[in-house]
Amino acid sequence: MTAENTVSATAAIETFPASRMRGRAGRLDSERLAEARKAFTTRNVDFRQARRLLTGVAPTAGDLVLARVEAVGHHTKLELASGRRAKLYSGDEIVVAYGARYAPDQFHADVPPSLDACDLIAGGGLAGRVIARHARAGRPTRIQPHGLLADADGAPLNLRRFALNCPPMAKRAVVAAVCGTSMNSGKTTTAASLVRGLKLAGLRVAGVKATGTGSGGDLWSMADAGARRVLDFTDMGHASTAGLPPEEILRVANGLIDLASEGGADVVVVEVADGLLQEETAALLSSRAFAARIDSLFFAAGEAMGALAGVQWLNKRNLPLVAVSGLVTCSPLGSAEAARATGVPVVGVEELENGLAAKLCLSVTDGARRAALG
Amino acid sequence: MTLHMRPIQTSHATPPGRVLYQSQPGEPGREWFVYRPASARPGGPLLVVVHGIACNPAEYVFRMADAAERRGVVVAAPLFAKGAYGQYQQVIDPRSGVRADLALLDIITEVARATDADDERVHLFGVSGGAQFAHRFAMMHPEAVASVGLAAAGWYTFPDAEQAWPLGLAGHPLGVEGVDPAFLDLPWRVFVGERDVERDVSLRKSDALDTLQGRDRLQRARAWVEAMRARGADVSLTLIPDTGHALGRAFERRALADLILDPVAPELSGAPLKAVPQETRQ
Repeated sequence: MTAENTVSATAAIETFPASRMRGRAGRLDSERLAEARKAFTTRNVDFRQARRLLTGVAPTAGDLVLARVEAVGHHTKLELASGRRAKLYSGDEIVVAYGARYAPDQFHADVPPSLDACDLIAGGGLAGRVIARHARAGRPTRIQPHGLLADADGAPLNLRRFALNCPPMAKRAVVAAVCGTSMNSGKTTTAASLVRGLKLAGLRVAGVKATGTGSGGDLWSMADAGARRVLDFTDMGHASTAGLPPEEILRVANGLIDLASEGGADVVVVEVADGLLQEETAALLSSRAFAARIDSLFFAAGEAMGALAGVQWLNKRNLPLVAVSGLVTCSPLGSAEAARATGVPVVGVEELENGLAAKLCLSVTDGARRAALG
Repeated sequence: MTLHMRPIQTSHATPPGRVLYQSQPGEPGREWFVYRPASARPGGPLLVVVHGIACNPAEYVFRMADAAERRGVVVAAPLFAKGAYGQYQQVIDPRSGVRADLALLDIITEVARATDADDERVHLFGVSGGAQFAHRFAMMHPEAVASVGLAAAGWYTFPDAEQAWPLGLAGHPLGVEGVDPAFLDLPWRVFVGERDVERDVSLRKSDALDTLQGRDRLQRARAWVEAMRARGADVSLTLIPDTGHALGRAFERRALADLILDPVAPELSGAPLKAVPQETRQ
């Protein structure tokens, strides 16, 4: 019996006294739910709990919505829980999660105030309302919500319900964090190179995407590079981290590191999304509690000037910066500029994969190291 | 792609409880990974683990860290990169003359200084090509060694004054005084997987070597142990069941770290030293 086959098909329409707004919990057709494509963001959801379809309420971040694709736009595919990117057609029914998005190269979006037509704002399965978009981003794929998935009592199913349980503090793994100047500065490539290099050094590696928008791409990249376990904030019950308060961002990041450390990882590679000027990224990296968890920090820069600004920003916060990486390393001239300007090692994919990853992740990061670097 | 990086030098003291990479300038540079247990006491033992051609010193330090913490043993693993040290397995690279033994002596001095460990005599353990290095190093510097463990060496230098170096001791690159017979007085332990009988690509093969030492690592280990015992050395041989040449899993399945560290130091809970039988399966 599949999970979807257990969904009730007989529930009568009733009023749902949700605290945030009154709504109506109606019948959820089990076959309809079974046939709907379920996005990556919903991969931890136990759909046997979905018994009703809730309408007339205001969605909140993380709520699961059954929606119909009205017009295919920027996102032509939906990443499924398996990681397969399924082509979308008008009329498809999908299950995605509401969430906000902060993506300078794509969409700035929030959670809409109602279940009216809205946008598919991320291929990993996020429903939202586009506020602004990059000039090169097309119109978002338009979706029409049918209602929120709810349990037998009419309570909406939210990703928070399916968050993984954080273990008690596991044996402390070495934590190597990756941040960058912006979206598309080479953070994911840096993280994958670190994972690969550490694995080739014989170490057990886990990968974490601590912040960002729910999508499997970064996780699959680290898994392909050899990470034994990969996790992101969706495992902590968030479809995205845009707009979350700093204390929750910190809880998510530390919880993911604890989860990733389970099973005996030697090193956890943590990617922090977006650039240093993004609000949640800045808050996390400015947190002393987070700084205390990380042993080494890699900064992925788009070009030398960004590298300099980033290094200055990170040094002000006494973070254990060990290297500049990212797109700037594609250019020998750019690498040389960045090294001269920052005094920090500038390392590319080849160096990280061929011996430097372990050295840098495990290097001393105190004042003596800074003195040695000049 | 060009690497723009300056060497990272050691700090004055190695912080405890973390696996660290450290380096010192030199020709070639000295590089190593180290774990200083929080439980380590001044003057406590230092175990040096030498990697094979997989060039994975960090892995060995991580795999040894828990067992080392239970015993207060500092663990250091030099990095002998092929580009810098060539055939370090032979201690002195036959092409360049680069001496890995001098590098290791430097590293021992620095690690002991930064961790307060005992640098008078270190416990030496080598894996595969690292075992080749370890036994040759101990033959050249027995005064610096407290005990020697060798795991799955591909071939050996026999304690044979007639056989030419590196198969034997004749014509040693440092001259006749290069080999101090005191190496025979050290406690030696040899480990080999009982299924380490493949003549894989990394195994050195020649008619002469096969005839002198055997066709595989298991045969060669037994032959070397017999030759050392014939010279009066105290050598144990441990066969690791269900294991070929890849020893990585043996660290998990066979608690290889404990096996290596048991004779080095007892667990701090007061567990007694375990006697090492002359030939056994673990």
